Amino acid sequence: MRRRVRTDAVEIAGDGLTIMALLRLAEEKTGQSFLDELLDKDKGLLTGTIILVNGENIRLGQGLETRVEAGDSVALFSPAGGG
Amino acid sequence: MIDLDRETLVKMIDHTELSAHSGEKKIANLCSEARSFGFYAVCINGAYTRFAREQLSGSGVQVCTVAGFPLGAGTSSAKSYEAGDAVRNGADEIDMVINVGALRDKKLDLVRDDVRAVVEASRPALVKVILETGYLTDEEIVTGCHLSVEAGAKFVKTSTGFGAFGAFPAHVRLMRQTVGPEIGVKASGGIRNFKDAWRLIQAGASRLGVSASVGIVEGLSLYKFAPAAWLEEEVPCHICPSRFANLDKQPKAVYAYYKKKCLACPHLEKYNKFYE
Amino acid sequence: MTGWMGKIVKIDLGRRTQGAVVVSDAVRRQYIGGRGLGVKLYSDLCPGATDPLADDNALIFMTGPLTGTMMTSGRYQVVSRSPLTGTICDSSSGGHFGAALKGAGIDGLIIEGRAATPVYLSVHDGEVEVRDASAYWGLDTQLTQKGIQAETSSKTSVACIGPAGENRIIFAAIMNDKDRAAGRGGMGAIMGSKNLKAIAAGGSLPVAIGDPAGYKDLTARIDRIIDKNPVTGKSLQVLGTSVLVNIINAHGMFPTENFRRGVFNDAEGTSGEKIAETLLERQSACYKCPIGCGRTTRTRDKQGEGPEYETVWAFGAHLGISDLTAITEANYACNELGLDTITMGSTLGCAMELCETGAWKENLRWGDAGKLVDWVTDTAYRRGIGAELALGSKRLAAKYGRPELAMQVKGMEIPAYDPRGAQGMALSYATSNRGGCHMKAYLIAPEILGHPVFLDRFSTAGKAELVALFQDVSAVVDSAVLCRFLQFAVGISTFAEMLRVVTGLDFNDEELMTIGRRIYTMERLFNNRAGFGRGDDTLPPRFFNEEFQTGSSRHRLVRLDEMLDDYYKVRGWDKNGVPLQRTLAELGL
Repeated sequence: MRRRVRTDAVEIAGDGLTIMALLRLAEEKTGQSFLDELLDKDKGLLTGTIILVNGENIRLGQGLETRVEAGDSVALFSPAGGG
Repeated sequence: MIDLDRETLVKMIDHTELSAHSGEKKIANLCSEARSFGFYAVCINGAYTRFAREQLSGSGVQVCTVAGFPLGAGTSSAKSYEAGDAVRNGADEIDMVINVGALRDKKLDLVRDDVRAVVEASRPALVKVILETGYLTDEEIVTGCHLSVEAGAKFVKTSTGFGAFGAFPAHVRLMRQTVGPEIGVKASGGIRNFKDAWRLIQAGASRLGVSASVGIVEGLSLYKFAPAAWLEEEVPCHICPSRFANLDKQPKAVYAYYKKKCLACPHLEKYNKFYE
Repeated sequence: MTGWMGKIVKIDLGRRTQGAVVVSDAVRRQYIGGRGLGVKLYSDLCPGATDPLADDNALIFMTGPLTGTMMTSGRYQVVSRSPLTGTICDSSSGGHFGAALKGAGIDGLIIEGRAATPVYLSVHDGEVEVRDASAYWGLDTQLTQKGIQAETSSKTSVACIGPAGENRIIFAAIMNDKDRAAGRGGMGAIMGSKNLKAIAAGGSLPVAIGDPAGYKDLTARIDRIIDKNPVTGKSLQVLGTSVLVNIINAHGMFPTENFRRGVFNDAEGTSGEKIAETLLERQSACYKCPIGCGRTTRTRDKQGEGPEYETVWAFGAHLGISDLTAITEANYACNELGLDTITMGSTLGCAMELCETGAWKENLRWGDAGKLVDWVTDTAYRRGIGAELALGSKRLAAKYGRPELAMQVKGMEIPAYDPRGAQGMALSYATSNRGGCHMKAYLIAPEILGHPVFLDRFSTAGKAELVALFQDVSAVVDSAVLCRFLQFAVGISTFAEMLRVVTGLDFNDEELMTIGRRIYTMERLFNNRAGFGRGDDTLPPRFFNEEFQTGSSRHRLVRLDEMLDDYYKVRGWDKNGVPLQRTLAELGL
């Protein structure tokens, strides 16, 4: 992800945005398109994509419709594995 | 345990590449994968029919070409010609798009005749009719199925993949109930992994239009002995078309139709966070 | 017979005798090879409580029918009773050595007895020659390999021990093909106890394929699957296993300072991303592997392989150390000396807490990166403080009166995932047949990574069934022998196809699930005989009593009691974790 985006963090202004909206804004702000690292062509989460809001996986919430508040920290990980 | 074997699954798959920007290399790769995995067919745009036929010679993999795609709003003559042309180039199946506007206008004869024209022009190839569920109410889906079967189509299909909705188990179930066991039901659009595919198969799909075919087939192997819980969708809204209704992409009446369904849904109380 | 070479050599180093071991078709079908066959043969040879470091203990090196054929098939398994845990133990290593054994004409070796003076085995053309190794005794694993290659051929694959194994450190590793390791469980110490410095194998005898056309088609398909899968096709290649550092830390379960905290403030500095930026020269791959998760790295003065995720943790967050260079050089030291990095690092963390609490009057302190290489070296040579560290965390903590500070299960130290952050992993650790190991049932895949499906890590529902499923599938993969990372991309039915096209036998996925269950149960039977029962299927008290206060796994405790009985039921074992008669009958045991 970082290689694509050329940064390891970005700050977005926006209270009450959904994660999907946030991702689009992040693409705009960083000037890099990276959604295909996280989403498939139908804009659904790829198997293995991890998106955490304050440490909680959005799949346990409302997925890409999960809303964030000011001060929230969102972590994006493209599919990974290890041992 | 999942009672589906790999051979059966691969023969349910139309390995699909319909992007406007896909070039020869992508199509060649598609055909190579289809040959390697034994998929039933490749599903492609007309310009590549002959090329795909050549790539697949001797493999047993069918060629499926789209016609009147993706809008379905052309004349019957144009669609028929396109279908016939594809068959002359080697297509074994034609996926046509129904005249959605006419269906919504309840011009039943027009719709039926349109499908019939394509069926005639396509012989001996088989015709599947794409209903484009994202623009229709349940009633219109049922009507579309009846008209297609009456006109001689052998399959009804949920979506182009370019419209408002992909394949939902609810729609597949409805279509299967409507056409009975003899006519094919093809689910297409947004099928990303084995779980999605399995739900649609259980809902009655007999063919899948997918581009993530490789992962789906291996998914069977990964899920075969998995606990049933892995394949169930805990939150009904996640696989319900109503949740995905989108005013930007759908006619207002259709959008309102789906949102009204939400209000009447028994799950609403428990999952009302999805209602907007 | 295709796939298998059909030759297993048993050698007694003391009596200087050797002979062929005959394995019936039935046994081959029921246990396949690798771990399964190794466990079966070991259980038959040493059913009782054999002292792992005594002359009469058997040490088994085993490959499987798929070894030396397709992608990732260079691996091999080492099976014996572990001097660290006293349980049965299979230790797996990558590289080329497994393929080299097949190329040399054998499926495996059973080594008994003790050589009077240091020896190494040279395997070629189906023959095993015992050669003098006194020139190599005392050398590190890298020099040993180079030396033996110079004596034999540059193409020879060498599996050897370093000073740690020679000194019988109970967590000594066996190293091969430079820096690949059969790390856990102290198999290196068993080699050392037999005066066996190394095994060299080489040759180009082909592995016969049952269905060559089918094999070609299948492997072409699997190549595509591996390539399209984002884990095997991308993430592991680009960032290696240490991609997990930031992920696990973000989940608040990156064990910090002997599992007292779950978030390490300097995790970033020891991540896979950081390694790629600063130390990485290139990725490296094992035999015929398209994944290529290995890291060839270099610090300012040294170079080598790794560190992997577990090592980055064991010498990093676990000790409060964020100096990546120090961590990497400690990793190189372990590779050269032949030591398991997980047990080494974990023992150091235990030692630091023992010192901090005053239980041990030594001066090992959190964050003391500068001393890492010294500590590792002293341990390998059992000198100074190393003599204490060489005990491993369980015996060390018990010695200083604080047994609860050893983060171990059955004597093997728990690796880099805090079980309070994933209930399924908690059960996995507690029920692994070789002790605190993450590889037998890698529940991290569904619980954290979301692969193949995403599960709630804090739920205990259904985890028992899952752990058993993963344990069984992994046992099959360990017996074929193939790489665990393939399991991110392919499932049991495809493994069945692989075995079919190579062996020509009609394995199917249901039979493989039974075989996996059989192997796992046989291991359990051995452990039962060795005195392990329900009481040992547990975790250190910290995980039941102490909550993290920060991070996204805060205020969570392990709820093993909600899963263990279920697990026994799924397994067909009684309330004490002893397999029931009808289970044994079903599995032909």
